[in-house]
Amino acid sequence: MTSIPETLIGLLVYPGFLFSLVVGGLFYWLYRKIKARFQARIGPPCYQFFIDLMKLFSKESITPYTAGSTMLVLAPILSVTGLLLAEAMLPIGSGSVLEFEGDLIVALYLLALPGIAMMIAGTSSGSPYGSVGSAREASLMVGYELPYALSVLTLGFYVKSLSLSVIVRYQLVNGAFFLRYPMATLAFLLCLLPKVGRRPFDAPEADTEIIGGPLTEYSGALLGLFEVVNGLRWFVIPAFAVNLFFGGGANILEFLLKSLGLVLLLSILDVIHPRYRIDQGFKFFLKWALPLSLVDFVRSLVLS
Amino acid sequence: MFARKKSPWVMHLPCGGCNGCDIEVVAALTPRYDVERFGVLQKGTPRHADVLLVTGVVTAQVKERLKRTYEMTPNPKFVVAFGSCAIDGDIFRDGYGYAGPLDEVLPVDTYIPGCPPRPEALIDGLNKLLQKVR
Repeated sequence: MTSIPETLIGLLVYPGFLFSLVVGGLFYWLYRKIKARFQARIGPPCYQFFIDLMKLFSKESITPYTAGSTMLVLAPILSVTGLLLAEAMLPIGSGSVLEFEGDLIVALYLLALPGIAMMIAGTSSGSPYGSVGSAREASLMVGYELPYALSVLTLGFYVKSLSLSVIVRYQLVNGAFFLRYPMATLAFLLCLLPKVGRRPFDAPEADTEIIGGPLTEYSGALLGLFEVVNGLRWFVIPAFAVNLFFGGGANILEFLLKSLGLVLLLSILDVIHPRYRIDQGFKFFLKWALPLSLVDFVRSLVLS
Repeated sequence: MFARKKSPWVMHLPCGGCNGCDIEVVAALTPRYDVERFGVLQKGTPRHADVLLVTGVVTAQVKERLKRTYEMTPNPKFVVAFGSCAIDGDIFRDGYGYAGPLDEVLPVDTYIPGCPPRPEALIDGLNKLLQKVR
């Protein structure tokens, strides 16, 4: 059992808020840079994400009179909290801040919070674009959460434990899970795209169709909090995948390199694909990702 | 302030123009001119914007909406008049729908003249605007 100051440092500095914000911000910059290079542009400088954050937090926040102001403020906070707590449970490098039996399930729930917060944000902002964005987020979530959870539970059944650290330690000895369960890995990687809100599954925030989606009415510091969420999820969600399927990392450098690889993969997938319509995206998950994860789920049930 | 200089998010507001300026604005976002390297992002909602880029003549139809859009934008905010029409009405000055130059409706920070101005002129104008920002 760790002491309270240690836990606080773990949550807020390393490997918590500050560390993941910096790494996530750099990963997000990398994504924008890759996108720019693919389009034969130069792209933004590496400090762009942090500059944007500073600017947004120095701006005025307007609450529209049609909006439910409590939920409008709570939604980004809920989102940041969920990502931070999930991040504290991930074993990054050596060990995690919070460790208990069953943290896999808790992490799954916490990583669903950003999506739910997005829905709350959209519906509470009182803007038609926000409502459309939330509806899209909701229907996409119904599609991707099932294969996502199934492919995670595959590992749980295989190692007969619902603890993240047990799964990571098992992989350090016996090799990474993506060799043993390639189909579940594929399904999981497909579900990462809507989790970080990238093409081809970025219909909820499609800026060419519904302005800003759920974030249309957000401004200033509250929008800045959603930028923080954007930065955090570029680190936390690939980190979750690295821990589960790509063997975690014996040290922090190996871990970061593996996450970097995943970020590159997600960025390239984003750049080379157009956007799916919302029903196509929903169908895609039920048609391809769900059967893939089901096959490996059944395999792990039979094998164990 | 440093951060404000390096990340101007722009909202493009086409009023009653002939669309020539709008095409030049969009051209500035294309790979050839690439304004994202200066941190400029185009946003579709005034809530996210720092700079309102107004093109075309201010018509009677659009005048009130222009004011409302300006009020929706969070402080600090800047207005750029892009093209001759926004500055003084140009050839539409005597038209029945003309409702005054832009700087009588909104406080304009930078004027970019031309019919239409080139994308380089937009980058130069934004640069001059950001020089003034402190």
